[in-house]
Amino acid sequence: MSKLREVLSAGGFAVVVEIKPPRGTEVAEMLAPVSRLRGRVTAFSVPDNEHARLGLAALAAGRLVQEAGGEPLVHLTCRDRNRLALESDLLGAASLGLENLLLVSGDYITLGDHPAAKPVYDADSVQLLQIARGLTEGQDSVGLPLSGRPSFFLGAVVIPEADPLAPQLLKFEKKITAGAEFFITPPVFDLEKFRRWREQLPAPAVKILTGIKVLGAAEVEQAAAGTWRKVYSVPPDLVQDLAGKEPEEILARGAAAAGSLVQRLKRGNLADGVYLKAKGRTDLFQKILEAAGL
Amino acid sequence: MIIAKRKPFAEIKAMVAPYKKILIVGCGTCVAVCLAGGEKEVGLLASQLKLALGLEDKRLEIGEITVERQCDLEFIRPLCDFIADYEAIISMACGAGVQFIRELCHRPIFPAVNTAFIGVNNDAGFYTERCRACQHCYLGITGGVCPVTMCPKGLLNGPCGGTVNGRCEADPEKECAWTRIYRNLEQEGRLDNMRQILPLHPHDRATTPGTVIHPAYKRRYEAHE
Amino acid sequence: MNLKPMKYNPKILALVCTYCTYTAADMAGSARMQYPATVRIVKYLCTGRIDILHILKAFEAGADAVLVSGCEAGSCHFLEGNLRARERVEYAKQLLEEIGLGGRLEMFEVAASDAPKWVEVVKEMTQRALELGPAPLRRGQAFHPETLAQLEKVVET
Repeated sequence: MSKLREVLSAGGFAVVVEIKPPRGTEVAEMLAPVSRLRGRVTAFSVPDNEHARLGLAALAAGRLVQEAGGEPLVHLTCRDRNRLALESDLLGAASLGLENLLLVSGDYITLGDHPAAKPVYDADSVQLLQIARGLTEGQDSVGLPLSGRPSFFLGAVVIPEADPLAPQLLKFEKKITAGAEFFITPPVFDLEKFRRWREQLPAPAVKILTGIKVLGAAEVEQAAAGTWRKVYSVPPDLVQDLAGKEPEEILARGAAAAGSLVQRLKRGNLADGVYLKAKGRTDLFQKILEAAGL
Repeated sequence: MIIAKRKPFAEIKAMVAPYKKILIVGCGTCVAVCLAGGEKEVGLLASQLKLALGLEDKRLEIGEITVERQCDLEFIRPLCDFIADYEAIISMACGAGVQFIRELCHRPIFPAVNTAFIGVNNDAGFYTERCRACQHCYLGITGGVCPVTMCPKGLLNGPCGGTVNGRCEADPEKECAWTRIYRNLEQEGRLDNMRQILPLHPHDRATTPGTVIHPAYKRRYEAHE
Repeated sequence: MNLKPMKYNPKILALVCTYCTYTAADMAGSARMQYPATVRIVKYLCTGRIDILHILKAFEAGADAVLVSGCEAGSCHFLEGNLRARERVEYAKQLLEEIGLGGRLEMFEVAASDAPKWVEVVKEMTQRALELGPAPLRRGQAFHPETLAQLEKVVET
């Protein structure tokens, strides 16, 4: 049974921490946060060739997280596989006991390190959610019956700061119809803006884990230079606070700020949990959890 | 129409290096419109080849001809009469024309253009893609914007989470196709199209190489099916 | 005994318009202005009539350099011809760069009354052609090694 599902359905505050699959086979660094934090964290999230950059397969990494004693949340993108492979991977995940899945479209192939590769997108995230739910109901995407029945806890992404917002909200509703049971958001820095957004959601009852991120030096530089081009925004005063500082100090301050955000989110009941991104570093995650009082 | 771009000169020159007598065949339809392979471009390429080979003290005999289009047998059949005189052919047509000529005449054939896409002529020299020939047109559902072509990911239930200020994550110069679809459908009062979940695309009807036989000719070409 | 190598006298083709550049060139002639005898003039009604193929054919025919000269921007007798010529010359330059014949094509603007400018233009192009050396298609005019040997024999006796 998925611990993440349990915590969320019981109304608890879920803490998900994102680890970094290596471009290679050395997994010690990736798994370091698992052994250190598994008691304090609900689940460890494993991205799938994040940003279209090569990483060890999320499925395999998810299994390794399990063996290290953690609860995995495995991403599955539509970019690199056709529907047959997606279904096959889903069955594989189920057979390994990997229940928590984040089903996403995936960053476009040219944004990563294999720009000449063929972008697949045979299914989109909505269709993939439908496929996954269909599997839990005992049939594959062409209607053929399965032996055994997988059990999944399906998640997807929603973008609070999408511009324009209306099409994104339409898609959000479709994802729920298709089977999404929880959502994660890109990094949030302005809680007031987030609260207002959540209130006017068509389905405010669905479980949402707010993204919380520790910015790195390169990102701060980008924000300071005005070349920031992402689906989430960073407040100017935070950028000013961090700009020009040493890389390690930027991370440390960022972790402190993140911890404070997590605390306020939890106290204000603004989200059902948080999704932490801190370069996969145990020390930064610990800092955040301490600052948040978790 | 089909849009193509002439290959880099060095590549074309290398293709015909082994030959002494070649024929350059142009096409007067799509590639002429997009200024890649029409009569004018045939002349320019022939001249460039002569000059470039002259630089190496080599000579190449070049015949030049342009036909109406290379995808219709009636226009390329007459070529058979004299194509045997040449050692090799450079075709400036799209991939379809190049192959059709090769099927007709048995000479090594080389393409002078890279066929790019099915697109439109915005203005002289400026062509943009519109269609990927997926054999399952969604345009009636998506307010006249093709989700397969205009969205790099080809999402049928877009947008993805990468839109920034209504622009595409793959190319910030381009507007997000699903933002446009939303806008068009809203304007037309047909947003319900976007509320429904579009099912998985049937790729099997577009297995290559494809064949289309017009229903009126079914009996005539029964053998081909 | 060694025969002296033929002196390289550049052959430059000048594609000019009637209303501005040709008039200036004519005036330069009447005023007996001195400039290198390297230019052969092809007189167009307007540079807008110049086809890129004409430029390439000029090189095929053995030109070492080609200069295009028309009215100053805004003063074209046919309003926009010189602007079109400018675009075509730019593209022709790309095509020539592609095949290794870069630097031998240039466009100039010479007003009808500006005979001195015409002289400058010819001098500039001549200098450029001298620096770049003879165009490859003229190499055919070099002597065949056997011919050279035979000539030497004839001269000796």
